Parts: sequence; C-alpha cells; structure tokens
Amino acid sequence: QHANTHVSMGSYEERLDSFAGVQHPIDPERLARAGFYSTGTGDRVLCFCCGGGLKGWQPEEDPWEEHAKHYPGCRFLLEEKGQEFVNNVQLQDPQR
Amino acid sequence: TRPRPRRDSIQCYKMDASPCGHCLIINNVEFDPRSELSNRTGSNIDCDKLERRFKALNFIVEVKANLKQRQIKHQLSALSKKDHSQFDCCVVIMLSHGTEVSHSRFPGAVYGVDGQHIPVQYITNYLNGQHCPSLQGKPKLFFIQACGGGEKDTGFEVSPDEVEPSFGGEDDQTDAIPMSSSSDSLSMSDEPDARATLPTPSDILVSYSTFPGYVSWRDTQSGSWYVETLDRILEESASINDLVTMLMMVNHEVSQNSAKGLYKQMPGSFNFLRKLLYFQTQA
Ligand SMILES: [Zn+2]
Repeated sequence: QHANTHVSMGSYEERLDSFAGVQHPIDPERLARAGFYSTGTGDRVLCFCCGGGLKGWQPEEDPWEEHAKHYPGCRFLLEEKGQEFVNNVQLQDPQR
Repeated sequence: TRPRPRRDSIQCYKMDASPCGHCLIINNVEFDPRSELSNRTGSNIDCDKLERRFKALNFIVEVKANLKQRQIKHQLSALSKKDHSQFDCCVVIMLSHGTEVSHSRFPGAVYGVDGQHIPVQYITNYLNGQHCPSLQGKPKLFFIQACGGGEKDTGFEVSPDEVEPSFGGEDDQTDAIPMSSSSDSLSMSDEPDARATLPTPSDILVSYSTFPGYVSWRDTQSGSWYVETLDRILEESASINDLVTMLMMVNHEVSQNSAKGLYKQMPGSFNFLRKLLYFQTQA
C-alpha cells in the first residue's frame, strides 16, 4: 500500500540519512541496505518498496532475513536477494 | 523414522480429524478467446493427480473446472461459509494462468477463464480468521500452479491500490469479502507477533509453482513440473516428513529441472504456519 508514497526513500543514502540521530539496535547501514528507513518512532523501520514495517529488533537479527520472514513478497527483496534466499528463510522450520 | 504426532501440540498441528478437511481444486483449462490466454493443455493431468493425492490424504475433494473470476470468488466464498469445526485443515488448489501483482506477503494473481484475475492475497483472505472463524488456528494451505499467462503478461503489474476498488464493486453480496488487509488478527491472539508492524497472517501457507511473474513450465503430455514433483514427493514421503520439509524437496527438484536446457523454474513458498504439519497417511 505504501509502495508509491515512499518513492523518495528509494536510494540507499536517503534511507541511511533517516537514521541520523536515531539510536537503533541494528547497524543503520545494514538496515538501509535491506531497504529500510527509520520512521523516527522508537526502533520502527519501514521498507521503501513493500511498505512492510518492523519493530522490536534484537541485536542479533539480520535485516534481510527479517525482511524475508515477514514480507516475502517484496519486489526489492526478491530482486536483491533472489527467490532461493526467500524460500530458505520461509522454509526454516518451525517458523516463529 | 520420526514418530508422527497427530495431536495438537506446541510443535505440531492437530491433523487427526477424519476426514481431515475440505480441499477445493479449481482447474482452469479453456479460456475465453477474448482473454487472449491460451488453453492449458495438460492441466487435467495435474488436476487428476492432485484430486487422487488429496483424497488419499483423507480430504473431501471438490473439483471445479473453467471458472470465471466471479465464479472463483463465489466458490471461495462458499468454502469460507462452510462449518469447518469438525475438521483440522483446509486446502485450496488453483491451476490456471497467473500474473504479477505486488503484495508484501502474497504477491501474484490467478486468472479466471474470462481473463479477469484475482490476487492471491484475496484468495487467502477468504479463509483467514476473520472471515472463516471455524478455521481459526488451523492450517490453511494454498497450492498454486500458475502458468506465466503468456507473452501478454510479461512484466504486467497492477498495484494493490488499483485492484482494491473493483473488489466488492460488481460483486454480489455473497462474494463480498475482504478489502486490502492480509490480517488474520483473530487467530494471532495466542501468539502476538511483535516484530511486524502490519498484522501478521497466521496459519497460512502459499506454495507457488513459480515466483509470480516468472514462467511456470507445463508439459502438454505429462502436466506441470511443479504438480508432478509435488504429487510424487507427497506420495513418497508424507508418511515421514512434515509439509515444509517436503516443500523444500519440491523446490529443490523443480529448480534442478530445466526446460530446453535454458530456463529454470524456482517455486516459491510463503509460509505463515506456526507449527509443523504432518498429513494423514495410510501407512
Ligand atoms: Zn520490502
């Protein structure tokens, strides 16, 4: 639903900038690379492409894996990481 | 071999109801010439295989052939209105042409024989906790063999925003189900997911023959790679393996296959199940 409203966050630099001044349990560079930008509220991030949001991050979590776990249909995710990566995350057992 | 749990537990879904549940197969073969979609020769082979397979897995199988978009909606609506309280599971199988539609969880769409498509996200919504309370907390499985939709559809894309308004508009009331949300909020109450900020669908698994937007191979003589492989792996190993393990095997085998030595096909699994699922088998 948000796919069109956040076009401006399409670049890595813009997404990275959104984390300026934000304390986040995950390295902002890794989050930005995985398509996420900060909403400015707590540790909430949104994907610029699918609009999927994630919060409650644990330090050991991997942004790409979490992206694939919760929003496996994201086009950016599929283009960047490929179908096999998404399948592997989706078919980890037993999920959550 | 592992013991096969039948009772509901933290790790496994209860799967011992007899019969286990409903299985609806929609087999679209002959398309309206105006749709510019080709007839799907070989699909009856897929349909027969899966009808036999899910009967063997103790499902009540119903096959519907050559449905238009609104007839697909009507069948799904009717399925969602059934009382599933005596059953443990529900399966929907779609054999048709498909196309690309964006969605963060369940992308893709499937065509009616009239050339009108229905997004996969809506197909899953019919059976979610809100719209089908008697399936709450129970696994809802969707198997989709969607052929590329022909040259016409390569790269064709509709955003969810564009699709929504038509949903409900021309439908009669019995078919009017959910708008956009893929939420299954009623059934997530036992395990709220703090991670995702969009409501998380639960107990839903969608297995696609191919990632939406990619070509799915179908042999006019032997049916589709995906269904052939799925059917064989269910036959060979449903008595020992859980569904997710079997889908890993299906994905691996299909992706090893290649058409004319050039093209690859990778099935897609979008899995929001919370537990392991073991089918009922004779053994
Ligand atoms: Zn995304």
